[in-house]
Amino acid sequence: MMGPDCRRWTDLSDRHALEEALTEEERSFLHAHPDTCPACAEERSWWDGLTALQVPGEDDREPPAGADGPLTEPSRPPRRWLAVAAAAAAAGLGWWGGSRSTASSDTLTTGLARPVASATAVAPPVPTGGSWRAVAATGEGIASVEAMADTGDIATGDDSHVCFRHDLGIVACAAPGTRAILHGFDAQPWVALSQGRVVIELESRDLAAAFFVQTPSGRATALGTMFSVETKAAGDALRVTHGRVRWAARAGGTPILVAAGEAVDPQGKRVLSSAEIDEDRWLLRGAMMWKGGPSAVVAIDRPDPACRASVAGRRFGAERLWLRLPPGSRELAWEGCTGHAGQTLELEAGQRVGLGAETTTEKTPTRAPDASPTASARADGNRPMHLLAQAQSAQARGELAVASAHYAELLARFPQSAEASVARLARGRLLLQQGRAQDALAAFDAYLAQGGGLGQEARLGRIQALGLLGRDAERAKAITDFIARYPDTRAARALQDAPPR
Amino acid sequence: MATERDDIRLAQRVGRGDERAAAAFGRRLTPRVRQLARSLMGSREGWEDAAQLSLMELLRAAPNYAGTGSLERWSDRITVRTTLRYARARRTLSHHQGEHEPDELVAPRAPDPVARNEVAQLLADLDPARRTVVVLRHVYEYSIDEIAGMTGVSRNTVKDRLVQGRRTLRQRLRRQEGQQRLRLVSGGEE
Repeated sequence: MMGPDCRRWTDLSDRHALEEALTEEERSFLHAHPDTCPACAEERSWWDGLTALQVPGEDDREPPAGADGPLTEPSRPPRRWLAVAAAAAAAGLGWWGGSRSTASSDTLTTGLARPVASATAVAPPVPTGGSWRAVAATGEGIASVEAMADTGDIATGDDSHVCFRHDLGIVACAAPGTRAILHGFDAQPWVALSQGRVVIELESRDLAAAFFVQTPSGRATALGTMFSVETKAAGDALRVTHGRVRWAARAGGTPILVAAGEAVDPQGKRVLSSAEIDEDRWLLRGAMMWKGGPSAVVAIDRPDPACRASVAGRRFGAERLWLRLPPGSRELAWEGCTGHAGQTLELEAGQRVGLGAETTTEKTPTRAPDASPTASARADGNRPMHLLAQAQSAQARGELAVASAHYAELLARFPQSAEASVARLARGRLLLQQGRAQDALAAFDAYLAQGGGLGQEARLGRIQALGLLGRDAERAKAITDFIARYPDTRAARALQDAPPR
Repeated sequence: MATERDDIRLAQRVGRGDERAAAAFGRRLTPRVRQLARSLMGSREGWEDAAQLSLMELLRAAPNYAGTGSLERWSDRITVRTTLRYARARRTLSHHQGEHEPDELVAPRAPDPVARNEVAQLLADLDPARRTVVVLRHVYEYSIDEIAGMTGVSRNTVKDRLVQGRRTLRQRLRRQEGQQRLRLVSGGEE
């Protein structure tokens, strides 16, 4: 049980960490109190001791000069790697094509035929191209929302929401507590929802029957223009405001059509309440102000907790609000509080405006909403990272063939990327897991020939591969070499203690 | 002791493809990059790949080093960005696959053999966003503004995560059979 002095000390300690100004008396108390309180003294020494972690651990210590060879970027991969990559590409293009067409929906669509993949469906052409970009958010900083836009990964907090718009004319707003992934960076847009609620508005009926929201238990395919899908432990709920939506349960059965004004949940179909319609409309409110074209970004912090912002007549209640708005004149008003005057915002394309306690204006290069090449390049730039992550994740799950395919795709498609360099070493480890010692040895040798920061790991892998191949003399030499290069590491000590083969 | 001018020269030589410079550059930054990537990822699987990606990014960015801060601080910024991007890609994926990385970690994980000591283990058990801020503030002693810049979130978000992270750590520390753990941590001896 903490006494009042201890509570005060921890509070001041937190404030000090937050760089808040302390009075002379507070500083003095912060300094002196631990001298009389063992618990606070221990906590203080714990925080102070954290800086010791900055010193690299024994396995990270600097190797002797030349130990890892030159750390060079793989601007020209060794010929054998080019050969491997080319052979993989030649042999596996169809294989990748096949796996990629299902890869985008692999884990979520098993058991449910996708409309676009159905051999019998009279499917409309699948719209592709463009990217998602954030258009409105509350509760989070602009930077983090823009970071989300890079990956399509949405994870809203308990008091925040975010809206994205796809260039093809789809708005997806995630309610608080939602986790979802937006697909459709230069591909068919769709949403994988694993938790919470997303509200969808299609700006064109052309997208009907091609856009869908996938949940763990089913899929809602748009036949109209505005609907929301919620997934929670008790089951999924679907609300349709405009048009119709087809719901297909993952478990099978006949898909059902849900019409405008209807909702369906685990209890069955019912009439949508006006409160539910309002709830969905509220989420879309900020996003609807921006439907493409040049824009300015406005970030609004409430000057007072009682205040509610109203922009262009639309009310927003969240703590922090971020909107992308078309250029022009917009009225900002504060409601529910006094002493805070409203103002007229004169917005220019590419401008960033921060409103609240401190008003800032910054002119940034315009990001035209139709500049999809930029967004595409960014999305594509992330692709090697995602391939690497996919491979690593599959490897961790023990799905070695899947991991191998991802590594091969990464190496073939992005051989010059930093991720490819990592993949070469990781693939060596994978081959070891698969018992393909000879191939693993080649992978480790290739990595070492190319040079890189993980020479230690590559050499350990090499020792293991030589052991599996029964090449004991070479293994012993590799161990001697390893111990000489990394004498102070745990691995070197383990190798020294290991019984000879 | 290398001056900033020496460091700029070194970075420019790296940019021109000078292999000896690249080796010196790697020897100097690799241990720090590995340690930072490991701390940020909580010794979780994949930290080595994050470190390697960061090293590659450093090589690419070397010609842009302008000497406005130390080479190490510049390297930290790139390592943080790269590691967080990589961690996010992994989380996106596991989220997609229903694995749910422990963003909101409630139950402590099994002890990680790679964790250098119990301090690292406690940090590793924090959720990723809070761990990032605590590591950058208390291990690497960056300011709130610097952390906001490196992680791409607002200053208020950094402060919120820092307070939450400190509270969580404080609770866990006090919940332990206090004396022994705190002695270990403060003295570092075992």
